[in-house]
Amino acid sequence: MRSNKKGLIIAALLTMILTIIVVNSKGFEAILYKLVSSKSTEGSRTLLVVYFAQHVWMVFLSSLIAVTLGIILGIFVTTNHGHEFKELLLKTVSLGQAFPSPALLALAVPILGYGIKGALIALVVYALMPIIYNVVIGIEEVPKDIIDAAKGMGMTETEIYIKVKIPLALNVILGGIRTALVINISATTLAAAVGAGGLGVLVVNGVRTFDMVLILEGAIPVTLLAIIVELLLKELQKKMITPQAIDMSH
Amino acid sequence: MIKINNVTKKYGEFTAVNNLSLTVSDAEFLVVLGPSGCGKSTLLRLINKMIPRDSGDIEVDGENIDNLKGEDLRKTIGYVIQSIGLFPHMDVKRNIATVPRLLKWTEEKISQRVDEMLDLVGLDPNQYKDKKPFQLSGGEAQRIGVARAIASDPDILLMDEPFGAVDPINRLRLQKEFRKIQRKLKKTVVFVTHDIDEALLLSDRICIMNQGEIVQLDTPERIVLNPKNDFVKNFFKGEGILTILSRKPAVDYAEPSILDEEPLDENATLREVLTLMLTTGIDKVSLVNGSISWDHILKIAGSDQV
Repeated sequence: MRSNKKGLIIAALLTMILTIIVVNSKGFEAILYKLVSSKSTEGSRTLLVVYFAQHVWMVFLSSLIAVTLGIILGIFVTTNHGHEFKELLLKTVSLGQAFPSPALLALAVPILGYGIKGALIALVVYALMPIIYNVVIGIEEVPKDIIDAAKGMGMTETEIYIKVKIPLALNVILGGIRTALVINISATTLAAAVGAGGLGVLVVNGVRTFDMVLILEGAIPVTLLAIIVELLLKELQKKMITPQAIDMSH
Repeated sequence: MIKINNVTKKYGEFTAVNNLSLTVSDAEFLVVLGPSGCGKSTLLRLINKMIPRDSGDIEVDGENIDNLKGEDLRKTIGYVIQSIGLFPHMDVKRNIATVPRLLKWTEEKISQRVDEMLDLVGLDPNQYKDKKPFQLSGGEAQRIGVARAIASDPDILLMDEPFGAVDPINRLRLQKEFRKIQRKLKKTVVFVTHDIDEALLLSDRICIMNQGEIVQLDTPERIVLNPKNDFVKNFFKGEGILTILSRKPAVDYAEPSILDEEPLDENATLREVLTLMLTTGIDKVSLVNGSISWDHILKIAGSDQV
């Protein structure tokens, strides 16, 4: 119970810090100029809050698509109908994951042009693997005897999924979504490379001009956002499933 | 009533059930007994269409099971397996209510039924209905498993080694309680086990299986006294007779002569009488309705009277 509260308190504190940074970006820049040396003196020309909003919007869209697609595909390949596609799907998504993300983005540009579309495709491909893997593993790990009992009592295939398999796999599925989101928040930085905006713009510009202030101005909010989302989803996971309920050894 | 006609089930080259025919009457307690791999569990799973068969016909209550969807058939047949398979994410009352919910009973009727079922299996509803499966002992979990299987009041129960994972002391209690419940509710039961004592204690008839075929199908008494072949004889190793005696209330075999001693409890079985004789050395035991002698028990055990 105590660790439960601790996570929430840290998340709340970090959210406060993040809000202050994003809203009062001039003050944030002033602090950064004091801490690190920099050739520039003005910081970002566009307000931090604009990049931040673009970033969050891209994370939200790509995660929404990835979660929806990942759950549908993941469940499909665990059914009798989709079973033959399982190996193919898992191989494809792990290949997508292994493919260097800047290269993936670069490939998306000629097809979809500069802007948010190409970035979203790359982000979705990137986030799919942890979600699909966890959906498949979560569902396949539901003990056979429990499914046997469900079937033996007259549940249809669909009822077994809704009433037994998915509820019992929920913890593992949520774990996958959490990983995907955290990856996504930091991977969205790369979207700047294809002109889709986001906090990555600051980082990319900072790297190009060797400006530590710009790099940190982009990187710190990204990191804070990732940690906050991780903490909140962990709490959600704990809340939805009591540890005893998933102890299926009995 | 279950009618199985010339049913065969193969797994690749292996024949699990071979051209088997069997009829289970209403309210009968049939135990299917055999070594592991003899096809007994397969036979059970063929009846409720958990697995498809290769040939032959099965009728349940006069209806060919091919005319029913698997899930519709299974909703009308209780099913209990060794590992119980309680749903860990649901509390006891939701577990018991599984089939009534599938059948869309009203909440009020379901809640009433859950209490009834818990009472029936000897667990206090108020104490147990909100518990989660991980909070139950093995014996309690198995009672809930039985309650769940009969919650929708099916006529037929299929049980696959349901008490196999329970410790010996609780197992015997569960067996006796379940036999009582079965008699009271007049359920037709097909019960699979490899435990000989369990088979002798519970059954109206025993169906001994080996290599996918029926070796002998008869009352426990006749099987123990007249084993059809060496397989059956070796299976019981000559100990069956003691279990047979433990099925028999001593009062049913009382001789009229009244003894001057404190009589044995009226529920005492012939086996308990025998145990008393062997431990105390006496050769006559007083009963509530007479007495019974050593010679008389020997005569009963050796005859078709048992």
